[in-house]
Amino acid sequence: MAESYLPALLFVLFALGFAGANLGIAMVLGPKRTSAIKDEPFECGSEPIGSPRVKFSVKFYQVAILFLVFDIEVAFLYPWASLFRELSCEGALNVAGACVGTPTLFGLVEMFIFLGVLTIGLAYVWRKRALDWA
Amino acid sequence: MIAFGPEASQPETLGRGAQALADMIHLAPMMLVAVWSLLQLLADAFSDPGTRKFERRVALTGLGFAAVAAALQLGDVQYDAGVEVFSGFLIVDPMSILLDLTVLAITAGTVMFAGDFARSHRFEYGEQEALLLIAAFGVMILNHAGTLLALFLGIETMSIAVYVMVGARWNSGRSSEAALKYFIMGAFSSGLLVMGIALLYGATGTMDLAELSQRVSPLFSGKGSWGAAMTDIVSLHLGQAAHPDAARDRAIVALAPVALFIPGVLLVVAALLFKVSAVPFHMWTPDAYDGAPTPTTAFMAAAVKLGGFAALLKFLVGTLQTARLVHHPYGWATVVGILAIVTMTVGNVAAIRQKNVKRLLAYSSVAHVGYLLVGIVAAAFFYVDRAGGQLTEVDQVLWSRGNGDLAVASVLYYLVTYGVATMGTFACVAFYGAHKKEATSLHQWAGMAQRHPGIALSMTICLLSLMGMPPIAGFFGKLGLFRVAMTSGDALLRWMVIFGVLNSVVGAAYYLRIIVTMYFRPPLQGEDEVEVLEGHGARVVVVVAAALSVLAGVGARPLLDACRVAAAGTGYRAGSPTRLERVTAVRDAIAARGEDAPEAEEAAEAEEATGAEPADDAAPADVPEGEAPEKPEGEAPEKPEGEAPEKLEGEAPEKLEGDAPAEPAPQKPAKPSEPPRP
Repeated sequence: MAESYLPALLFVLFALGFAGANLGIAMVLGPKRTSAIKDEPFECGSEPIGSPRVKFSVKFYQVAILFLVFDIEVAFLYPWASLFRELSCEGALNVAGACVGTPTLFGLVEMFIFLGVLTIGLAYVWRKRALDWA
Repeated sequence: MIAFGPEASQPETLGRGAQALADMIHLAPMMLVAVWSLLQLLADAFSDPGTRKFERRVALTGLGFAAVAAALQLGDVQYDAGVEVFSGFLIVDPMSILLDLTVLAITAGTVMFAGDFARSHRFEYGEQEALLLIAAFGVMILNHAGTLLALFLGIETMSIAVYVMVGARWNSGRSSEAALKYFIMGAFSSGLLVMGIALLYGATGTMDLAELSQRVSPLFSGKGSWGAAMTDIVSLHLGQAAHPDAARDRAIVALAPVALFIPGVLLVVAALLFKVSAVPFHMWTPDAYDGAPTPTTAFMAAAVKLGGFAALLKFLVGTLQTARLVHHPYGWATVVGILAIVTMTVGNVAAIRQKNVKRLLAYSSVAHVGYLLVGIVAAAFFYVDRAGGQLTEVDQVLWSRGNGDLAVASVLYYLVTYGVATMGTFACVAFYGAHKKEATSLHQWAGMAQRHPGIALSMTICLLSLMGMPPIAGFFGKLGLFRVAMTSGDALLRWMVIFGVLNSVVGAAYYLRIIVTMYFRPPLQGEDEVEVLEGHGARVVVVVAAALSVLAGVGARPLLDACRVAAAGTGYRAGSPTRLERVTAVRDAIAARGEDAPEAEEAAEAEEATGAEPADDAAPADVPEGEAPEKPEGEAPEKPEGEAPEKLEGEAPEKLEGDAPAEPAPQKPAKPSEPPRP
């Protein structure tokens, strides 16, 4: 049983060995000439301005969290939309996707409860001025 | 919820909408708390700053409504066998209703002084009440949990709100430190919990606790896959297997679920023990309890622990009842039993050395977890029919199950009385100190009894309850736990009881030290003099908690009965006829005892305490209820605290009269009960 994994093991060893050997050869044989200009961080030809470690306003964090909440809201809407026919039908659907049993408001009401909770959240955030930048 | 209206008007086919509506009504207390937390958030957002009183009133009204809804469910026989709602995701049974009422009372108690405390210490924030309601909602999910997912959801809902409340005191570095520690450790334990749930699901293919308990026993039984694997393994060892490879593969396949299941159980148990802060997982407790604002500490010590124990009862006692899973070498009960001994010892020994009252109470709450775990292990030992030996006769098995129920009832009684007493002590800590200067150092408590005699007396009663002094509730809690554990012949349980009793003595040392400092040291003078919190909230909570502790001790019968009903049939699936039978049997026994008092089988000491009751008028409201054994009895000990805040709302029943005078003359309700104390 274990023998059948031997090729896979060989492959992993070969891959590691090949990559390692090439890096090692480059390190040993390659010429190293460094200069101040070569050590600079290089991004698409733009010259760096200042340190990357600056203080960000905590407001970015706040906006990111708020974004996350409403992003997830949208993410939940997709599966709900694709299941909407099943959710609003008591009984089976026929091949065309029409409801054979009695139609219900269950799916609609369910999602509106969820949206209602988030709307309360939005109202709260608004009143607390978390949406104002200043 | 109102939008479900059209659905409800066609009851002939209980469609999805109508079913959801019916489930919502079963869960009314919980749903009220959830909806109210949203309303609370809006009330905070749309009211002007500086309206603390208004927000407190809103929160107490919501909690009052929820308490009324829960109290109406308490005596309802419809829930006796347990009702599954949302296809078994949650379960409504007498135990969950009792715990709900307790949580609502604890939350109401916290709301009473949380706002005052925040204002006095200058970290007022409007979300406090909403967060408390959300945390209470989380605990209630745990009380009702019917699946592992509900367990996880409840723990997260509860914890996330509590993390915020722990760190809410933004002008204190210790609070932020506490929040960070609690959050990181808590998030890690949630990770363990999820991993454990995944393993359990992998092993059994179900999240449902009742289903899980049924699928576990074949895994571990001699006739199931365990037995088959053992047969194969033995034949391999003896070299007698006809096809060794096939036998080995069979054994591996048969044992694979077991190999997933045992680590899964360990991970889930570790995560739950973290939440109740049992010993190897208690490191965060002193720091978090000390750094958090005191009302939050009170809520954590009382409600969060209660939620954790509800989860432990459901997961360990209610689900894992296979003998191989309970006893050593693979069993959780052995592990939990040893941890219980370590927990109570470490908690008590560490508490002795504390000079800070808040840390001292934090360690004392760790010690109490140890006592409570004794009841959990005892219940499990009885439920697996191995109380000190293999039971064969039907009546032995019945005896064992009955004792298992009694152990669960003891745990519930202890949880309720511990919650009330802890609430009182922390309310007193919150009361003592104001204007950004907390008086948590023990030397500052010197002579407190001279300055605030009523509060000091109430605090003393709460501490005596935690210590386990006879006429007060804590004593009956400990007595119940230790006695039921001693009924079993098992050596581990006996050792646990021995350590429990020794630890109670050790515990008395530090509780008495606080009392002695309050009464027999000269008070601090000059600018060292401690200021106390403005507002009546904290005072009311301390006094009501003390009164309830005395009431639940002197008139222990009603609460004990409520706990027995709540605990009956814990080992059986919700909604099963056996469970209904057991609950009905307990209800009948209680009703029968009400008719002819002499043949009372349980709780002789409660009887004797009730005999002493007419002598003191501490509990005038309790006497008539002792005669009507059915519904009101269970509510009696619960009502006052849950309802007391409702006086704002004017909906309070007659019980209030017992508590209302407590405010102007704090020592009044507690005092008459002093004489019987030996």
